[in-house]
Amino acid sequence: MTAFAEYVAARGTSLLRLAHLACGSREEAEDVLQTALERAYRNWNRLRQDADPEPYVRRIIVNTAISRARRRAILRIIPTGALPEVPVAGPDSGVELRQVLADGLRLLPPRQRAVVVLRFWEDLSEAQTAETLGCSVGTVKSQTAKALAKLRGLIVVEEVSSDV
Amino acid sequence: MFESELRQAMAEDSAHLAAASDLVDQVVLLSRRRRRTRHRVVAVVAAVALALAGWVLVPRDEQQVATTPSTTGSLDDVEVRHVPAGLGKPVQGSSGDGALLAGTLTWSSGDDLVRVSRYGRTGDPDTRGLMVGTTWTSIRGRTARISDDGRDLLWAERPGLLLRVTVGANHIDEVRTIAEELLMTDPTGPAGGVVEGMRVSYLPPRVHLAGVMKRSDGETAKTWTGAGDRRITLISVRGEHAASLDELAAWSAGEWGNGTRTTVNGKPGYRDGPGSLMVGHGRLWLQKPGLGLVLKVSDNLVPEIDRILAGITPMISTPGLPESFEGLTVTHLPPGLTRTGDAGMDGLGKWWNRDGSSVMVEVVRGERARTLNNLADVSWDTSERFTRLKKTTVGSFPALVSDVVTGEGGPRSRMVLWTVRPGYGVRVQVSDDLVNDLMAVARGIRVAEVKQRGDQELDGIGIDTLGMTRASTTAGLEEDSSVTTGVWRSGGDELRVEVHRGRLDAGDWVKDRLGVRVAGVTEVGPGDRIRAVVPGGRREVWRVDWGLAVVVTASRDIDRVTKSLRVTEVRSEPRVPQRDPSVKPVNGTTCDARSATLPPSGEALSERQAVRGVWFIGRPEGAPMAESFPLGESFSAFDGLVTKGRVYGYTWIRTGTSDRLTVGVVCGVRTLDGMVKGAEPAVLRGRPAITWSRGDYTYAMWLERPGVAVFGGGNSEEGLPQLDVW
Repeated sequence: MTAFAEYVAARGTSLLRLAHLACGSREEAEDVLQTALERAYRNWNRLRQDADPEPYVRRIIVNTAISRARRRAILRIIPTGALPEVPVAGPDSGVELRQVLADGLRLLPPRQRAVVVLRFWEDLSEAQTAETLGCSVGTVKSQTAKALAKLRGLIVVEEVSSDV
Repeated sequence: MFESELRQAMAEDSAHLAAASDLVDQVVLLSRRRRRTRHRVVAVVAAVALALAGWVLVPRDEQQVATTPSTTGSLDDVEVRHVPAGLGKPVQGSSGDGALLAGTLTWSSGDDLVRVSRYGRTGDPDTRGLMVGTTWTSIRGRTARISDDGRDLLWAERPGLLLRVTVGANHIDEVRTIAEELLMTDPTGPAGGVVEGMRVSYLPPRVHLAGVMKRSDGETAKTWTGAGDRRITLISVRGEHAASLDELAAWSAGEWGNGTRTTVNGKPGYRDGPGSLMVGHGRLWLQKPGLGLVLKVSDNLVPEIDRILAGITPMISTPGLPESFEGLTVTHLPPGLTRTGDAGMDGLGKWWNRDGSSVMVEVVRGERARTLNNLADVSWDTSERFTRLKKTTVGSFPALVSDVVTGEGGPRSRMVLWTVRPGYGVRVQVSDDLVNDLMAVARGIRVAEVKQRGDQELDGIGIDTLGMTRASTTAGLEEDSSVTTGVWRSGGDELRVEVHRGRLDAGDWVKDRLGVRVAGVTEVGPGDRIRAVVPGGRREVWRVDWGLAVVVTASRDIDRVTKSLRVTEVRSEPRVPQRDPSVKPVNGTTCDARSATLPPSGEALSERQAVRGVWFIGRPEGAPMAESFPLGESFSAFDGLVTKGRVYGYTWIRTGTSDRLTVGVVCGVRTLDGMVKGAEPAVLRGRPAITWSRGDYTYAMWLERPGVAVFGGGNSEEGLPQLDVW
């Protein structure tokens, strides 16, 4: 088995989870993962043998997810002209709270979603996140703050609405 | 607390996921599909979204209910000829942007919609990623994608042109009809594509490719069908069944036995007659020995048969050849291929492609190509492997050849590989339908000699060495590249130049190798492809593309050295015979004798050599001799030779035909004057020569040096053999 096949066999599921979180749907995630791996595969021989391919593959996945989400967003705006639906679940329990957070994550703009996933799922530092996304550390900080504020706001709103 | 809930939420949200067990194979297949059929890569926008987009883009006042029938329309070069009734007039518009910008023609009425979109340009193949919930299908003989609800169909009509048909729920049944009935009013390339080297430049309207069938015995059938049982089939037959017209007629199992023998497209053939057994109507002809063609049409296309026939003509050659890269020149490819891009598993290579057929030529440098065995260790796409490597030769080089299979039973291909010198290897890989062309492609590859001319040159790079004296030159191999190092000294000054060639990814290579980041790019030297990367200090890197890097270290005048760098490598171009318009031209013969020769004993010494020292470098068509002319015989005299001399001659014979190709040497002659009865003077490559004919045979002979005359001849329609002598 080649190094690439070994890598995919070992890390495929982790990468799929990353793709899923980054783009919000399973179907889309599988497509993103396949596209990203294909791109990585094309350049596999150029990776240094001793280098960890994960940062490289992770970068492709996240950036593929972002660019596709943006294109899709443009397309969605045309037909519906309406905002996406907001989830209606109320956070009565921890399970529901997490469901709200997961749904909330899907509603974030693609780049903010990517920042959250890289920071809190992949546990990357701000610097590593910036490198992965090709932006400055300052951008990572501001995007993280905005994303977390939105997610928090979602819970507050939901909590308030459930109290009513 | 919040963050840990967020982590937990993400964990739960993705816990159910598991990568598909065949993910690697999917990726590899995807990669191969993209690489080989770039032009067919499909750019799709989410089906439902765009269908809705189309709806919204239609102005409100156009959405009235119209009366039957609908008006057809055109979108640039696409004529829409079938539109469901009741949709009225079309509205022209556009959708998407950038690479996904499409011109559209939309018919709508109430909640009804029919839209044809024309994407003139496709961007990165990544646009395919927008596709969700679609499946592969076939339309107009092309690979297409259709949305799961059957309302959205998209395909590549030709490279660079995507067409799409989107319909409302009422017209799902008609989406295919609308697509099939589209007419390209300005088609690019031959209407029927290429069949075994023959262009099919005319087809009647409303027929589309239905399929291509290949059989192992050299038979290919390409079929076009259309509404009303319209059907056209062109069958090509190669090999012994097409050695002669009689063989061809016999091969067709007597179908034509009672037909009328006639001339078809200027070639001997048959037409169907009252007593012939064949179904439908057709023609059969021998295009040339070794290639027979059969055209069959349905009854309703009989009036078109002569026009179709007239459009079937041989392809001349692949455009763009010869193509030089990385020190070699590709001079022969199967007809009709076009270059699709760069490729390579371990080195630098090019792809050529046509309807899924492909040829790859790759140059591998460095340790990977130090020996033939090294070269055979291919960094495959994950599941590919050689079936069995067999020894062969390419020219005078030992080579290995094998089928290549993919683990999951995917398409077969075939590869031949050889090392020209340690550290420089060539791999040629062809898709399964071109395996018969593999060796011809390989033998058509010329490798440039790297000659050192003078002191101011290193591995094909000219250098101003500041008047210093060369102290040493060393050559070495790195994993994926070769490096040649020259050192010049004078007094206390030293100039050191390294020429790296191979797979150098510019930015990373510079960083890894030199430990510096590329700071900027400065033009040096002549030519717009030449760039210098100047990282500072005393090292400079200069490169042409990413297959070449030059590192200069100089104790003085480093700018002068880098500015002087230039490519001096001799590009090996195909040799073209010099023709003096005042003398009778001799077709395609190049000669250059060096040594006295030995007679053959009856069998050729090799496929390319019968008389020692005289090499076949190919017939104009380029097919390997062993397949084309498998039989041979030697001779020591020939008709018309007046002068006494020792003749060492050899003739290849094509099985079952009178086709022959001859090479030979006459030793002990001082002049060509009066040497052969009836010969006329000529000039070949600046040397005195003579030509003469005997029946259908034409010969040419030149004096290589006093004492040695070399001759070649034949009656093959492809012309005289191309000879080289070394």
